[in-house]
Amino acid sequence: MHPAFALARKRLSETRVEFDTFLSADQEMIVPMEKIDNPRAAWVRTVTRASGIEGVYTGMEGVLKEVLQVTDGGVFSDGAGFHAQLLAQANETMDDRRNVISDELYAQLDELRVFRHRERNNYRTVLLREDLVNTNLELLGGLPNF
Amino acid sequence: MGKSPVEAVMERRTSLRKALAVERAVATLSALDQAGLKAWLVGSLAKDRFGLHSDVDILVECDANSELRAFKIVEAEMRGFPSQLIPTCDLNDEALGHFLRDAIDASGVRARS
Repeated sequence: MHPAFALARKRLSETRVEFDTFLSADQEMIVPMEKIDNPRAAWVRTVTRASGIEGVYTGMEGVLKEVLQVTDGGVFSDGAGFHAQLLAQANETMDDRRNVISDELYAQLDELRVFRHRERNNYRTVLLREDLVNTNLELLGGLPNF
Repeated sequence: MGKSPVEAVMERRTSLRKALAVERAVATLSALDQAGLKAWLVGSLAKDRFGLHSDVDILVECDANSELRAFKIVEAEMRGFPSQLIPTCDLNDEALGHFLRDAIDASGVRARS
């Protein structure tokens, strides 16, 4: 691979480590907690998983940002829609390059982006939604080849 | 005692920001309605307490299947203006009742402005 992508490769490597650590920790520590049927255990599971998903997705975003820095000179956004623009730009096929991510991966990452936005910005009522967190955890777990 | 120049500037900015918030909120509620999603304005803009740093809070009646669609509509119509989508499926009955107490729909927002 071209040396211009060195930083992108580094970010990818770091994100893979975080991804593996998160999934292993989830299996080892959080899954056993599913047997504990009380609101505090549900809170710990939900908060931990939501935080893990947020961290991994942010890492993925960082990788794409570095790739687009090389291929396009950066992400073309005035700030407000940066995160949405980053994914859309990565999915776009240009005259001088093909799309960085497929339509399918774009849709999956966009869903994770929406989840992260809610987790960061919404009222903590989202923590009542263990179903939402688990759905996004499954989505993340289905991206092994990112 | 009259307003200071700084207070006057802040009041003007708040007024302009509020006008933009109302415009975007009406567009968002209309778009949600067209998509078959019931929605209301809640929070500071609904209570007429909108400030220089306030967000636009939009309560949407949706379930796990429609909330992603609702989010995309709010994101597109608010066009970067700070906003919060509050899906009803996130709320227990008490919280939902609390939000609905001050909620207004699109026609209510238009009438007020």
